[in-house]
Amino acid sequence: MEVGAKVPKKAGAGGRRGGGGPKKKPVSRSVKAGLQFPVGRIGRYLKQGRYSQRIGTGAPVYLAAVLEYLAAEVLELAGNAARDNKKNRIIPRHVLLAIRNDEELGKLLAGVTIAHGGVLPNINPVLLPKKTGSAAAKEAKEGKTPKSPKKATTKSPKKAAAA
Amino acid sequence: MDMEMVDDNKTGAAADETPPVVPLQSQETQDPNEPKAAAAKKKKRAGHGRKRSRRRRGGALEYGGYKRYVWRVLKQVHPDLGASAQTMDVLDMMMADMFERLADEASRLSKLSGRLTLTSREVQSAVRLVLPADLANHAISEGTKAISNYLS
Repeated sequence: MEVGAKVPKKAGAGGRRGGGGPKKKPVSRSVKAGLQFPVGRIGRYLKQGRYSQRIGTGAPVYLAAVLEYLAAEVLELAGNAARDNKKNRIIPRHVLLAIRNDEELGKLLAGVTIAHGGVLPNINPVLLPKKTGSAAAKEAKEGKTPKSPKKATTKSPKKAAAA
Repeated sequence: MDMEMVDDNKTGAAADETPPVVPLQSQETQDPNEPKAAAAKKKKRAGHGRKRSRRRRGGALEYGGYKRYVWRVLKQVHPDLGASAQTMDVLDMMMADMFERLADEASRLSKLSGRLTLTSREVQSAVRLVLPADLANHAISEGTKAISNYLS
């Protein structure tokens, strides 16, 4: 091959750009994974948080999916709590009721305080007022008294006909 | 002695003298012959050319948060319900807390195993360790599904 000779270009070889064809529309990694939570942003947080020297491509995808699942779980229960209270807007009280009434979420967020959440309604039975002696006697008396004879004897016309 | 006195007097006189009045920048630029209206126009034009750059200059990293994503999930789960600003703050903090717990655990696992890379395997193990039984199983199935969608 001569030094000055030109090498003929292969058809369609356009380097990295793909031969100047139609430009591909950028697709986010969240869309690729079918998620709502941001895969790219979570990956950035992992890198900038210095959790490890290197981050695998699957780690932010997996983590985004887990966070989305947890958010969906809490929001579903909080939405149900809001509906039970005849409200169409979730407030922190509904979130607290949702979390504390669920066994597993309650365990997960046991040491967490929710601002403006309040507490679960709970009164220990020991603290409830006891029935007094006179009230108990009154109840017993009411229970013992037989039905009036008038009521016992009178029957409805239908029942009388049946008899 | 007399010399000292003279020197003192000199310095005192210098201190008493008022410094020369420096004219303000606006006074300097304004020509005395130029009418006031024209000067005002000039001022306006000078300020008009500036554009405020929207780009941040260094400083702390901006925390994006998860509010918009939580909102999207809410609209998937309960399309007819809304959420107050305080609720969004609570849920945003909850997501940040869960992220930190899982990332810390995954980081610890990768360091203990003597590897430099934090992969989805470490995240899966972190999920098993951090979340309670049934919640962990569902979360793992969601994560695995997302990975398979992403790779296909």
